[in-house]
Amino acid sequence: MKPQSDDDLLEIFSHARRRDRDEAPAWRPELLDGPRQRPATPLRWIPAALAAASVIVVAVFFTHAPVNEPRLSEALPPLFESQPGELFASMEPSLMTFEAPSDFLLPDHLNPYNP
Amino acid sequence: MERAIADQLEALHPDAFGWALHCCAGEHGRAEDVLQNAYLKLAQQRAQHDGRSSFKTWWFGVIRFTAHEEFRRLRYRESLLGKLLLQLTGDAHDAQPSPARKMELDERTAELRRCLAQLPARQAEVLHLVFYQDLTLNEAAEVMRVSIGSVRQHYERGKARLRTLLQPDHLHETAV
Repeated sequence: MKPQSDDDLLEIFSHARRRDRDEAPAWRPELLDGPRQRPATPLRWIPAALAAASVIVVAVFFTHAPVNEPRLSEALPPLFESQPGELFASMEPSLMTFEAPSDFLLPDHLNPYNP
Repeated sequence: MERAIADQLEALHPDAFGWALHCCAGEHGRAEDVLQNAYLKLAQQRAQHDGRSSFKTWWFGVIRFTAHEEFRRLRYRESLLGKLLLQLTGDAHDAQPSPARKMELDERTAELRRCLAQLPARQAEVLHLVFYQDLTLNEAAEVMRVSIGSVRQHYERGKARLRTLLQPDHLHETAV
């Protein structure tokens, strides 16, 4: 089987090549002599400077902002600041004041409240 | 810069522009920018030919890479943030070719560009390099930085697809 000739594509591309050559910009050897200087645009640096300034302001604000939250020890209820002592000490009956319902059965010499 | 390299660049200049034009989807202004940036890379010695490949394939590889850089920059400009910054700096410009420029392009060339644009990028690249730039498949593989087998596959598929797209019936269908 004979391979298909590519002449049709070659012709189309050659035509485009001729057209593009006519359109090509002129050769400028000075482009190779040194770095091209960009035209000065005085406002070009403004967005970058604004962004940098914003970052600095936000950083300063967060590092030096006063802390309004109270300390943990101040925020805790006063229960924890009471004097240390025996738990439920106030509720325990003393031996001297305890009165049992059956005290009246005791003999007189054992009953401290019996005169 | 060495005189010999400058002479080679001058001789390749029209074809280099054609290659830049292809890499920029036929946009004249962008192609000029890409080529100028590629020359700048040479002037600043950011790109240097090491002799491992021919000068032409190396130089076309530089242009291709520069076009991809330019494409990424353009995508950034088209983003919302990029548009905002360009408005602030007053650097906005239209990358599209002017209507006058579009009128200058003859119908056959425009038709070829339209068809190539419908092909996968690799297929379009290899067809341009072989038929327009007269490179061999090996040289095209060097420019595209892919294997020769891959280039051959893109070449065969691209040719078949381009022929289909260039048929008058198909052109009429796409135009309608």
